Amino acid sequence: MLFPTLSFGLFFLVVFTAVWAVSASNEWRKILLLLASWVFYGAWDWRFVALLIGSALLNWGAARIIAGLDPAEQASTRKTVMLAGVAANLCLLGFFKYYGFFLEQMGGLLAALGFARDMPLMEVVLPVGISFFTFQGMSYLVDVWRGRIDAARLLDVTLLMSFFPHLVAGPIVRGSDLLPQFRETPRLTRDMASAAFVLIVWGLFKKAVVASELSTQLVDPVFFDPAAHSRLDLAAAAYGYAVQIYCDFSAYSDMAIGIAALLGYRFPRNFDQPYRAASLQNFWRRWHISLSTWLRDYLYIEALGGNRKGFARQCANLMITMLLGGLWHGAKWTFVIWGGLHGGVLALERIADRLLGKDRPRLPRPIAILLTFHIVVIGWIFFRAESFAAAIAFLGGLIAGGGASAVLTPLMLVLILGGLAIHLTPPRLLQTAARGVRWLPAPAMGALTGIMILIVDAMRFEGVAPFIYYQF
Amino acid sequence: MLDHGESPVDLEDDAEWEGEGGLLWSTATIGIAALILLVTNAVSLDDWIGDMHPSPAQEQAAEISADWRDATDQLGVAAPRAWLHGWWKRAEAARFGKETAPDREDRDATP
Repeated sequence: MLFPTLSFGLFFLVVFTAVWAVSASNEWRKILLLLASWVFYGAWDWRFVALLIGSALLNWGAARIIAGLDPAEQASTRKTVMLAGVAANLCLLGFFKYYGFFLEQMGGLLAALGFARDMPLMEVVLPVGISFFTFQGMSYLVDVWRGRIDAARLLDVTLLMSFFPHLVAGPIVRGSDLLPQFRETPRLTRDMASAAFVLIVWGLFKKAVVASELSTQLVDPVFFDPAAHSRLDLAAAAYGYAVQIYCDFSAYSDMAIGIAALLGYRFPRNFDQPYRAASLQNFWRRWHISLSTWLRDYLYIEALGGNRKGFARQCANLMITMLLGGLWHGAKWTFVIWGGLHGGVLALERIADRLLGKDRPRLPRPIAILLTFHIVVIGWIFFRAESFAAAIAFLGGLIAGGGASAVLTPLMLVLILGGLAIHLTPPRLLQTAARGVRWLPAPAMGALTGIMILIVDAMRFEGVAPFIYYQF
Repeated sequence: MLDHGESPVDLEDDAEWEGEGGLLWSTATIGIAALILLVTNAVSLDDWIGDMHPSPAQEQAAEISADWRDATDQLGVAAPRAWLHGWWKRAEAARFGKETAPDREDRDATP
């Protein structure tokens, strides 16, 4: 059930009505939301609803045990339980996401060593959104262990991990953000509602018009066979993918935040005009913020020690964090290379700061933005390519390919430039728009919303492609 | 303010603004938007029902939605969407210079 479909629209109408109708009881409200979330998740595959429930039970149980132990006298037992819980989450993720990759690599290694073996074949179906809800579960456990939050009730933990707006593609909303909201019956203000409508319509436009059109008409055909396309096509596809992935993923986040807001809950910002970044460090404060802060807090600082163990270790920690961040996206070497590129440049930025000082002369800001953007675009080529060889062929074609274009059309050019121009707008433009429409009477706001959705629907490409981040 | 940064649905405080009645306002907004789409965008409803798994109920629903689509066409309320869709298809087909667009089967392309 994809957000920009009529099926989801009708599902949401039912949920919205039912949830607000029972709001006199916060418990019934949450139970309804939980049931709705399972229906939403079950629309992909009912079998995995059990996995979702099992995962929630695991984290709820481990957190209860941790909370029941004395922090001073049973510190080591608490830590052991927390580590066991995190390991169980990682096993779950590892089995569904990396089992096939591991066997493939193992088979290749054995063959290279002259011990060719038939590896046990097993087709493991990847549950949608498993990377998101296991990360949520792990952060909940660590936060309870650290004493940042209290262990929550089973209903709240299950809803935290299952809540349908963020379930399949984030944002990764932490317990400390959502659990306090679950404890009280939410109130829907016109501020939240007007911002929600603006975010949903804007997200629909970015996904259904910009991302889908670029994907089907430009990016997919060129990445499918880079050798058959000219240098101009390859460049257009590289820039097109940068716009597509931003418009696709930020659209999902915008709609998720808007949908949650209409149900009375506030999610944190997940994107902040990432291609405005003048350094890669700044890029990661603007791109997929819920993942980058998760990796920073729980992996880079909590597990690896951050910058507390010397400069060399800090750079190594950055590289490890980004390599694992790349692997989080999927079991492919291209994701590891993408993470390695980001980790390497992040480390280089730290080294430059250390050698030349924080007050060193810097590139003019527009040039720094362009440079950062192009490093990101090179990373996206690896991220999008089917294989390492395909990425290298793509990069080779950018240097040596012919000049005439076969797939770049005026519309594609407008969409690429338009997608980049979003980053030139004032930083809080959507909130400004929401402040503007919150004064409108409901009939005018309803008419405006209906007309905007009608325009998007008239322009959308036939059908709706799944969001890129569903596969992660 | 959330524990981890701001939310895009938090608008700055405005002393003159009293944001009460959000639920009623949202419900009315959603209802009116849905009604407008039902009237002006019957083609999407018809396509959606047409894509459903065939069954007696689906056939009946498809018949009703086709009648509704015809009615909105005759009333002219579907014209803005059809015009915009046609304009968009022409934009999709446009090429630089003298290139021609590849043949595509698209019955909706006609304005």
